[in-house]
Amino acid sequence: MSQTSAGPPRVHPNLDTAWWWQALAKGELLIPACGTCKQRFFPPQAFCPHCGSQDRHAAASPGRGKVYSWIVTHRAFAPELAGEVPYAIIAVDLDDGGRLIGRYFGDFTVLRDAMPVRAKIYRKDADVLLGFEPAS
Amino acid sequence: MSTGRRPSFLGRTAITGVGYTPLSRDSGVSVQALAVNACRAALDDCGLEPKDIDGIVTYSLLNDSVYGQAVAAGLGSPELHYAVDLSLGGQAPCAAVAMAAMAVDAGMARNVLVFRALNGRSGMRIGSTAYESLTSQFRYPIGFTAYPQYIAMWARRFMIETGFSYRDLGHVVSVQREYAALNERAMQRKRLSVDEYLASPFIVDPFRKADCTIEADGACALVVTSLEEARRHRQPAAVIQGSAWTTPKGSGLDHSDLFSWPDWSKNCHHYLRERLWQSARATPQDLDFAEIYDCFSIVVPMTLEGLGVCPVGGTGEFISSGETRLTGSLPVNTHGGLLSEGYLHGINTVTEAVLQIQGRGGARQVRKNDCCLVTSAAMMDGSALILTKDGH
Repeated sequence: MSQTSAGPPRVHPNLDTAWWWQALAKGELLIPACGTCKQRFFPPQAFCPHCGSQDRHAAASPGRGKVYSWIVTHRAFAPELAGEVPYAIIAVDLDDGGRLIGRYFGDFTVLRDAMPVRAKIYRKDADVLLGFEPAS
Repeated sequence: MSTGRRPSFLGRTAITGVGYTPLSRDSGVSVQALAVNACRAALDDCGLEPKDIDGIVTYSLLNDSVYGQAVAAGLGSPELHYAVDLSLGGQAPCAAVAMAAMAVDAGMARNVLVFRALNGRSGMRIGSTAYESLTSQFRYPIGFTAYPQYIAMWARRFMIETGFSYRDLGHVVSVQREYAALNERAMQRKRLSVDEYLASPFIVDPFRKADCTIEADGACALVVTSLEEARRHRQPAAVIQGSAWTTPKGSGLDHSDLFSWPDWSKNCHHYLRERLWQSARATPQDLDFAEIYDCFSIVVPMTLEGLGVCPVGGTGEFISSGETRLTGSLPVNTHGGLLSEGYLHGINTVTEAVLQIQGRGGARQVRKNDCCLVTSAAMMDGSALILTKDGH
């Protein structure tokens, strides 16, 4: 049980991910990219999961993409989230590569496959998080 | 990468005894007690004594169980020549059986117990426990904390890609409840019509409560041995004819890292399909019934399509037209599935297959029981088996 988290869900960066969170806190969306196979990936990690290369860098992303999948949570699975239901979480394929997951800020009843969205960086308590909103 | 050579344990090893504790919401006993009781029941079932056991394979998540060693102690300490404790959940049962069978075939052990035990309802509830992992930092802060949510994401993509509908999900649940009504072990035995299902509220759209397995306290065990030895056991042999497991490219960093998986409409069965059928020298047309791991309803159509049992986009019609019922062409999840019987992380999916092959299915016994598919996986990694009657 030692691995079970206590208290509200919070950001816990590690040595491979801290840089990504630090950029996000400054309002920048960065996507890890591989210098060897040229593919982008997520989450940040020590090796490219596509080819195993350590030649990685951070690519700035405009954060525009299309809805790949979504859910609407009606029952809070953590007590801290009870005041937030119902809420939508969407998976987004960025136009410039990489798949990300975030809260959706908008009318979730109109979510559709491939709907265009854009990143919305927001603050929650002490954390800065990545979400999405409809792209105009 | 496959050598094309058939793994030597296939066709030469078998499952005989099975044992269960009751499944409940509060067992009131320790996990060790559950584990030992289920293992004793499996030994009694096939006429073995603790001294006949020399191997144990088990699996657990986040220390929710006891090691095989603790079961050996509870059985009066037979000497183990083979003991494996896997840190895995529902991906494991078919692989655990294969590991036991390989040990038997290699001469490392003679009779191997495979078990899963947990107080999964009164103790830690894996379905809603937010546990730290390499990738949890990208899920939990946004309110994406639990398995029903992760698999709902895959369900949505599967529905987009294949046309599988909310009503089709209702048919999966409704058919399995018909079986559950015939299963005295099942925790949920109430029938549920598709309309009643559709009238119930969402927990996490596209899932309703009935799409989710029932967390349980309990244990279940089985005995793996050589086919030769199995013929001396009290129960008929369920012969292990096919086996494959996989952790495909894109499986990511941990059990719930779904970021790297390319196509959420396909689970790992799409990737182990070819090796599974090749290993059994069989095709989907050879199946008489199937026991499909179903922590959530959507895993049933995703797995049937992944393994080529149903064409992509064809499972909704297959299930809603009754083909997976007891009277249909391919009965599926004859114990009511994990959705109804209770969540022992899929070991009870394997034991149901064994009981049916042995003709011990009671009121829910399938008519033809020569060849069965069993699966253990919902998402990225997992395993599967083909079991047959002896002599088939």
